[in-house]
Amino acid sequence: MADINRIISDLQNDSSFMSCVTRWERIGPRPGRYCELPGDLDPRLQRALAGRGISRLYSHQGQAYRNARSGHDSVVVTPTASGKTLCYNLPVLQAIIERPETRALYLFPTKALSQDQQSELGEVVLASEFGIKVATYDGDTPESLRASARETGQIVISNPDMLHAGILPNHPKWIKFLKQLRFVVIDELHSYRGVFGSQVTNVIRRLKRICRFYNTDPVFICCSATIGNPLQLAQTVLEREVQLIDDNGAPAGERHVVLYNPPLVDRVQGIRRGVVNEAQKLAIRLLRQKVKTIVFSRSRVRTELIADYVNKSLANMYTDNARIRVEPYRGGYLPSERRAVEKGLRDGSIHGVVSTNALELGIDIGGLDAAILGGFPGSISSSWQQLGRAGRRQSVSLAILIASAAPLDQYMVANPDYFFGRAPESAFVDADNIYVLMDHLKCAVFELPFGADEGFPQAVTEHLALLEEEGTIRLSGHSYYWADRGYPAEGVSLRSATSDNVVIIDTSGGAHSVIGEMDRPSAKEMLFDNAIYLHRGEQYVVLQLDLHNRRALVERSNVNYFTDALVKRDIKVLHEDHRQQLCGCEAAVGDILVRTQVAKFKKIRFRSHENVGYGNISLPEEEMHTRAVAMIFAEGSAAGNALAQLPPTMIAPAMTRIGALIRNVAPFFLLCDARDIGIAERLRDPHFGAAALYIYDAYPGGSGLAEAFVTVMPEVLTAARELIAGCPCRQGCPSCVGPRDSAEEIDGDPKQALGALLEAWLAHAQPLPKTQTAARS
Amino acid sequence: MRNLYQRLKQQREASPALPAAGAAAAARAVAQPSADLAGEWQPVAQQVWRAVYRSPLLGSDALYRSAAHGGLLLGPEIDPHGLCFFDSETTGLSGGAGTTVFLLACARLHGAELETTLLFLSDFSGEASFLHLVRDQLMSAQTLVSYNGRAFDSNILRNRFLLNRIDPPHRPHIDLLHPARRLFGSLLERCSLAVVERDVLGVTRDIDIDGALIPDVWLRFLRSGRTGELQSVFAHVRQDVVSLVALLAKIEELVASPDRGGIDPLQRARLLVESPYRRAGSVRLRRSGLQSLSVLARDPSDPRSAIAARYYCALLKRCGNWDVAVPIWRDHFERRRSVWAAIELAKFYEHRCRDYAAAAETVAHAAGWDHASAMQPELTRRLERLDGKQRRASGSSAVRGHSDSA
Repeated sequence: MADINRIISDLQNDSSFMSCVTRWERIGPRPGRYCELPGDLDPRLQRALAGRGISRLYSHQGQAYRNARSGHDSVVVTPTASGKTLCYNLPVLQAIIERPETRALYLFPTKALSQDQQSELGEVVLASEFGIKVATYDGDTPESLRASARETGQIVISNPDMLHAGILPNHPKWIKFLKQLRFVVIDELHSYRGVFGSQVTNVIRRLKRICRFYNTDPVFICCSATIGNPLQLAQTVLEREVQLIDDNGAPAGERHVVLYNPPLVDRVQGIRRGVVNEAQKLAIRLLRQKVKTIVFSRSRVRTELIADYVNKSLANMYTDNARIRVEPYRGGYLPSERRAVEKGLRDGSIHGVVSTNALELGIDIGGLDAAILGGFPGSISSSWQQLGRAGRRQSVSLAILIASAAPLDQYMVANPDYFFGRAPESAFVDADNIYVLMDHLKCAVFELPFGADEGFPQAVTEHLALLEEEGTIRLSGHSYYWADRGYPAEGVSLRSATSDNVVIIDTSGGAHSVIGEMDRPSAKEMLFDNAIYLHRGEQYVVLQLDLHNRRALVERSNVNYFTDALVKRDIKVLHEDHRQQLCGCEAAVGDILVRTQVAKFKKIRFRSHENVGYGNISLPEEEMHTRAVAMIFAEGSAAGNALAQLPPTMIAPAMTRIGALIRNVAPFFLLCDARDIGIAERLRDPHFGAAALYIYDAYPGGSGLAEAFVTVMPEVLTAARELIAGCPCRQGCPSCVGPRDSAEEIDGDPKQALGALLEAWLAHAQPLPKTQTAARS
Repeated sequence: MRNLYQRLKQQREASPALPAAGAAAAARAVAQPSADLAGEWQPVAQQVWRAVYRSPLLGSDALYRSAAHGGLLLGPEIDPHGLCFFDSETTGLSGGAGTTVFLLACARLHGAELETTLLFLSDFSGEASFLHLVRDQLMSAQTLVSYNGRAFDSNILRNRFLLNRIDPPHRPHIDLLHPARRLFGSLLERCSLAVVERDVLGVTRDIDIDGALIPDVWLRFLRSGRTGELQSVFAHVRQDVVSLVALLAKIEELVASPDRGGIDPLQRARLLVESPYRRAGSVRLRRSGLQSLSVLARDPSDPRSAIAARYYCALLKRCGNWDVAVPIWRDHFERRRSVWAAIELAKFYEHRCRDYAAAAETVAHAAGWDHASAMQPELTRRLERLDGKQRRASGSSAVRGHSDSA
């Protein structure tokens, strides 16, 4: 039998393990809070639930039921294992049993894979006991089943992409469904943030518009993982009043959460023992004690590596693996393969699983005893989702976060109070991104003539007039009509990055295999002709970047240098919306034009980082309009003064490194990817007349990140300062301000210089908010 | 898109008190002169026009004859005068709620004459009136006839009716695409109406517009108000419905007389016995189809014989007519050494006669043919299964024998 308690005390008595632990947090058990099954629940449904051992509800499930029944929209915040699906299935099933014409639409963010799973699991299967028809409608649904999904599906499971390009543009085919649509369930609401969030918000606008046409006004039930602002996010996406249900009534057993920083092997360069090795060693230790364990890793390759190591090590110790089975799990597997692993985990025939964040989402794999996070997943909310995979309602569980050398990881293990005390990140959505809005407005006109005075929901008369000038729509009488032979939804992808990506093709030895893809602007900076491209530990040389055909041909190489494009980035301020005093500098928000040109690259020798040559790049300039915030180091401000104290030759490299720090830290506070923001620094900005650091949205038109940055700026700067102060390296390492670089002009110790600069700056800024330190309970 | 963004921004900043674009544009729309259509065209509602043409109808005899005697698609229950041959033109070919119908052509028989009515929408705002008139036209008919209208025109029209909250018209609908595909599919490069018209009906159009370009013509007309280009669209759609009449007559003529028109007798026979048309087609034609199949199936000189036999025997099997099917299979098995016939025979022995030995022998025989190598795995599997059954059967009879003796 697995004895998790013994493992816990073993670890606590293991001094070499404990010397790497920066925090061991015990979170006490939490009793469940319950309520009776609702009185109006159909007796057959009550019996069916009883058959599954459900004779009462958790308090939040009861609240969600009552809310939906009374016609209110709600967002339910659902940690792992809190009985999420019942929150929406119960009111939907009850309504369909009462009136079989009733229809419900379930939207999941991921594509087919988790959807057909959703239709097999949870209480949806109850539906079949009542003859309720559940249909999946997505890109993989064969044509032959689509008509029956439309005609007879009482619960239709789909995704926003399909709603956008398949259902809404063909809504007359869905008349029977839409005329009776009473519920829209939006699961994993927290994933609709940033650009994807603005796209989905606009799709919901179109859905509501079509529903009005069919005289329906469905109730929305959203489920979100724990994030900082679930209610705000729901109200932004739905654009109406929503009730928040965040009082989790599900019980939880005692949990131990451990932050683990692998030992340093090279103090000067700040190199630590690798996450892969540490994760597999810990996993084996747990698995040998029959502790059911999940290991999260940050890449697909690492997933395979760790699973392979673990299995090999187990095989060496016991000829029959001690009947311990460990499986990898990641995207790119066949649905049936994934189903088999999920089932094995639930029924206990698989003891361990190594997964990417694919298992972070609400896939039911039952409770596990231990979770090992091989690296900080990038956000607090993701971390808790992953840590939450260990934990059952009754028994004790263990979760260990292993830090990598990445700056954020190091920050988290160095500041455990921060990790445990901080509220999860907030999700931001800018529903009115002009490009996104225009695209969806076209789709809306295609779906239904648009009244000249109709809102979307805000006034869009100018937008419509522009579309008419462009010729795709036409005003006739008092409405705009779609006046183009195209099908606008076809040209609009909700996941924008995919359409414009450059595919990376390895042609070594006559092969022709795709090894990855990259968005076009980044490709210009990393995949130019003759660039040395590092991919999963392999070194490649780029033979040809073919932008026209969106591909880069590469070949394995073995040289002793890497390449670094010299990016010339020109920023023009188009419009300054507002400016405010913040953290000892001025923060200006507005529209900018970013022109990017890569014209040259340097060759830099590995390890010594010497410059060993230059090359030319001839690629067209990239142009983008977007939203930005500029941090202005104005004369006389705390930031300006701090900068002015540096020797003039050091100002430029110091600005670059502050930019790098912010790029490392900010994505965590903005709940975005490092690629989603751009950084540019200027020593003497012609617009502001001082040194300025721009943080801009990498999505054309902006996705709300610039505005959001202003609200988290104090925290970003505080974190940057603490990251430098807390880093055990001597003179800067990739985990903090970047390694010492002989090509740069920072004299002496860059880490010390940057630390001093930030200290001087922030000491004279108005008081920064202290990091929250209240322990999680 | 960048320009768009800039302009929108500038506009917003330059004139915060911009008059509502909707109102301004509405004023513009009223001022816009309505389409100027001359000749036969009459305005019948705001933005809706109608033109009626009469033309002599050649070869209508076949229609009246098959309606009277019962043809493939026509029959005594259908009055030829109640047929409405229709076609429509739309703003796009991809479908979806944003595709609009702007032109409808309907042709009706009047004795030896054909009366063609065109309804034309000259701007979106007239759509509701246009659709009411379209509905009247279609509902006044007894049966609709189209080419690919079931999958395309009807769906788009239905969308338009729903979007305008008008009851969609419901009438029986004969789509000529399917019989045309069956009869001419193997003879023509494509089965589009244009190709069928040219190669089967021998119609040549002097000047014609490519159907795929028609949406652009109408959208251009909306912007320019110039009607010149539209004339070719009107001519095109008129010819389409005239060809529909001729095509229906041609199909009836070809199926009624098996030896004409170079039609593949096998395809003709299949068309006649296939179910979707049985309702309208007469018993006589179905029998004639079966008759041709049975002749083909037994004709060793015809290269289509095997296909005809397989198809014919499948029909026979479905109605349990083993007495006719078995000799045909046996013939193909023994004389032509057809593997499929061997398998069919084996199935017959195994499942109908429970004679596993005979079934196994047939399969084993076929497995010995050189040309059966591709089918070897299936034959082997079958043989193994039959061996098993034989063994079990003899085993159980042995047990039975034992108990009998006890």
